[in-house]
Amino acid sequence: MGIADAVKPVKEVVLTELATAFLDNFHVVSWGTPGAEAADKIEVTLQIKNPLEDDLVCVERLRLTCSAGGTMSLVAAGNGVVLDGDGTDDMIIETDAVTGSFDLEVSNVAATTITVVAGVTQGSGVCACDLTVDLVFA
Amino acid sequence: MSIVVQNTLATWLDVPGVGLVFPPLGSLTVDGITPELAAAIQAGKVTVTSQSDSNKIIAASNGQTVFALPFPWPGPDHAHLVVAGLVRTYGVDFTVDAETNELTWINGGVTILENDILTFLKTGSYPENLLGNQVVGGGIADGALTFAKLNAALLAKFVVVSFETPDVEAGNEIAVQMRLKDLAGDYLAAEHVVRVTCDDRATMTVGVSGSALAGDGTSDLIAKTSALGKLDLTVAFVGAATISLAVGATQLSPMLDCAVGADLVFA
Repeated sequence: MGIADAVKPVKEVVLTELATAFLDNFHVVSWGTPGAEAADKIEVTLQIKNPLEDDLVCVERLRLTCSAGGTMSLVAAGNGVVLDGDGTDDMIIETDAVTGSFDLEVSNVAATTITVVAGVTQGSGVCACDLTVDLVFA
Repeated sequence: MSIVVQNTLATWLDVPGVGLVFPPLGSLTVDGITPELAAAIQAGKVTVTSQSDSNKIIAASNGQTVFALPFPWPGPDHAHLVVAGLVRTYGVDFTVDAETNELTWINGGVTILENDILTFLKTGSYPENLLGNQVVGGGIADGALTFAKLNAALLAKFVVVSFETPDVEAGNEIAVQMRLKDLAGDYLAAEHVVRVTCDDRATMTVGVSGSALAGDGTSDLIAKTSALGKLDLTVAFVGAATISLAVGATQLSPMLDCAVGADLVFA
């Protein structure tokens, strides 16, 4: 170890310096690009990432809520599991154990923007949920 | 410390282990004496011809901001500045003009006073003209910072829920203890508030360790762990089913990883 390792100035540790086993304890919700509207439905994938924005393969339990008028479900044969609230605007889900993703399908009949928000709930890990997704229905 | 060391031999001299190769009767400048170099001095192969403390600057006046460096600037990865006991950050507290070899103090919030000492920590005992090539600095390597390098106070900020092995069912009740751990997997002795929920056909009560804040005897409990980080739960259910317990953060909770729950099998 060089002297530089021993005298690392304070406030300089950055995310890339964290070991993977450390970093991967902190989950971040991200959203893919929404698909095109078809039959009053829009699909969008939620993916768990680590703070470096690498995809994480992990089961994360989350609560999803969306704007009034919208309802949510798992895409047919999609990744993830709905634990509660299927077909409503307030759903408890788990991401897929193999991909760390959840394929969400939102239904809405009006011409409006439906915002989907994720949050931690019972059984969640340490997860940042500050990214939302807006789905524009025409 | 800058030390000039001269080869006393009329032949090339390689001091093993420290990367010092002296030309015949030639001199090299080093920052310190390593055991290998000391052995060469004791053997009479090399001799110290001069030494000076080139690693310090004493401020000449209050508010001085420009300082001539007493050594060629090797770059911020190879020399760190300490002022008043703190390692200062290149680009934030100070900069160096490599062409003029002058240091400029740029931290307006800290005034250098007369007789303040600016101390430089430099890499090991390598010839200064080889410093840049010999040593790779840069602090913590990518991916190297593990839980083990966090101090206990920081580690304890990341609280992880775990469950011990449940007791066997007795009288339609199963007791199980929730324990708090830190990220490194060590038990954490701390009082923290959590919310515990289960199948609403079952009820939970808090035992000896921990305390119920709300919902004792229901399927939705707000509780606080004991000072040892323990929460004794007794789950009551009549019938044959698996009752799952889930923990979550609530008002007053710390940063909490609740991914692990408990499944209690009632027969």
